[in-house]
Amino acid sequence: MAIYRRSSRPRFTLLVLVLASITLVTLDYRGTGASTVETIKGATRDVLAPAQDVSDRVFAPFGHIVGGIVHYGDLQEENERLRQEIATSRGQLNQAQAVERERQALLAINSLGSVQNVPRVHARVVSTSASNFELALEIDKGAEAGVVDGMPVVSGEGLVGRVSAVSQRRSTVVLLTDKTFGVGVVLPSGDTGVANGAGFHADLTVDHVEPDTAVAVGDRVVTSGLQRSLYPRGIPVGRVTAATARAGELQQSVAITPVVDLERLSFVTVLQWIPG
Amino acid sequence: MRPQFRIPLLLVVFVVVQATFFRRVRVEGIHPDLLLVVPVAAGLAAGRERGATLGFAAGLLADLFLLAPFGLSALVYSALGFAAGALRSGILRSSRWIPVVIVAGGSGLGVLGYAVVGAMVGQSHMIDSRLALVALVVGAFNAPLSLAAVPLVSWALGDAPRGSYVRR
Repeated sequence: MAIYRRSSRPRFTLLVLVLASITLVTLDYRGTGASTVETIKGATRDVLAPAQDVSDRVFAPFGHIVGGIVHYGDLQEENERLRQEIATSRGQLNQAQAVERERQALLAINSLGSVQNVPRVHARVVSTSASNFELALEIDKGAEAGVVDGMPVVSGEGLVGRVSAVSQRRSTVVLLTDKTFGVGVVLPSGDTGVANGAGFHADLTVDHVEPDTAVAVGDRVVTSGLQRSLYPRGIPVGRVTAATARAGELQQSVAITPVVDLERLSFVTVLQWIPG
Repeated sequence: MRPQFRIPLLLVVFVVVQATFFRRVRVEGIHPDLLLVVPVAAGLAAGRERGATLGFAAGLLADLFLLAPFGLSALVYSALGFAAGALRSGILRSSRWIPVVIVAGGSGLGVLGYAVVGAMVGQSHMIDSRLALVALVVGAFNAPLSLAAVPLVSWALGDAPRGSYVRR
């Protein structure tokens, strides 16, 4: 009579694979061998870069057609809104230029850093995050162009995020809405706080804002650029959408929405900022 | 072409397709995960051992593109491939829809498992109110992909063994 029993080999194989995986996670977590892993990761991204470029050219028109059909109504509304914003912005620009001249003069007097003086690298957004758990972008500039891990990334409107992984020709940018992201900010009142990403389509939360600080909805929040900050001072981060101070709490609950439309970024700028 | 060449070729093709095309296909910011189909398909095609092994390889490749600790996907995909292989031996009748359902469920479980293991190694942000939605959408995306992916993985594995049973 034939009797069948389960072989123990598959379980042994699984055990070996699980132990191997745990070892890799541990080595990466502790930083041992991290540079080797990063080198392999970077080389893989560089090898795939040409394929991504080709795919970009092939699939982007289809994406635009589908997007145009699906969002036609939204696009019309958005065009109207943008025309109004341009008209308003032109007026504000004239005022801002005068204020900026004064500010530059004050900064020069105080020998303080300004975002205008920071060298920069312009880059094209080539892809979104590889993970459903990370809010990130991939850009077409890497170490060859002078991009270094940790550098701030901005668009014309404000802060986008920071560089988190760099290969020779590609870099990954963690968006400011990612839950691992945090940046020191300053409110119009002059009080400082820390803005933290809260995930997809969620406003950032600002911690360490004292209960008696005056915060109004619509207030513009910029990077604080305090000593040894990872970000230069004065980069627009977001606008306040909610601020509530509950009795007995040690800090206000402040929420801000990013000034940058993170879902429609085509080009960004990496600031070659060295904290110090 | 021999299986030892077909398997790396298939994995590379899957990586390229995932990195160049599927990353663009998004619903609520969530995209399909073609590499997550590999361990389930391998488990269904060739049993627990090869499911786990191919899952480990697919996981390592996936980890190359992630910011999360290296080896995290390999760990989860190995277990997923093993589980799919164990499930295979319990399937009594053949139907073209069974792999589709198992890939959908397996992909969802893979996402949940990834988040749970990630949280255990310090990535606590992976567990949040969006997790169920991510698992659901990835499962729904991967289900139709299985119609092509499962036969491709079976082809890559060559003559799949009839399960991990030995005669005494």
